[in-house]
Amino acid sequence: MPARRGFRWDQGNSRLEVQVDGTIAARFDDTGAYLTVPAGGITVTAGDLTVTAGDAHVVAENLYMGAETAFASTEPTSAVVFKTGTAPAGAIVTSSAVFANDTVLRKIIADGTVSSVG
Amino acid sequence: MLETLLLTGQIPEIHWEHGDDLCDCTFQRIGYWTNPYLARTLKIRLCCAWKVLAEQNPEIAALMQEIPAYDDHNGKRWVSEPAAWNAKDHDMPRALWHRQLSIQQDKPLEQVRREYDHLEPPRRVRHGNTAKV
Repeated sequence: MPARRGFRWDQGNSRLEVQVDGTIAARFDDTGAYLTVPAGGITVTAGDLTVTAGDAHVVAENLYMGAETAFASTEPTSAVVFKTGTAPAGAIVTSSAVFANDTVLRKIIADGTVSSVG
Repeated sequence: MLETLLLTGQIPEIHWEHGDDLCDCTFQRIGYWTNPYLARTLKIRLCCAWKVLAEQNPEIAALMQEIPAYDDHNGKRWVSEPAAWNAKDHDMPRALWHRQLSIQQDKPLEQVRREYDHLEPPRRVRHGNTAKV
């Protein structure tokens, strides 16, 4: 029998499943999170992922800025991980920012002062 | 103006950065502040400056702790043996390697620099239990 492809109504849980070759790729619901992706993740290949209301939560694992790489011993959790980036310069009025390269973590504040952190 | 600053040494020829091995202190942390609208930069080789201050003033020395162990925050324990280099994506920095050897062999850093200058630091490891970050 060919693996299922398409939508399936999950009567017991009142949610709509999307199945691809028998694997549940997504679930739609009308309570809590309206869309759940149980595995595999979501990739945006163009455009932005935008939150216009509510918050962006990273409940477990980490927030990565830039492409991930290997960490020698212990993978952190609840951390912001910076790939070596481009340093900001100039005023960043009413905002501030942090960035990193391979040797320093730096911050920039509204008046344009850049300083090393730690 | 810029040429004058360079000629008079007010703009240093050598750019201080972490790991440059331009001093003997353990961590080579460089305090750094710069602002384009002021056209001013302040740098301090922090652990070297603290060491000088502590030697001159016992009150400052009493406010510092130099501990001969790694603070394993996850394991909530001290680790007194230096770990072997295990990074997968780059070799061990020479300045770090020299400091590790100095600690392992209980030799002055300057002596280690002389003895190991012709050798290469540990290379990146091809296989290992490294975690994704």
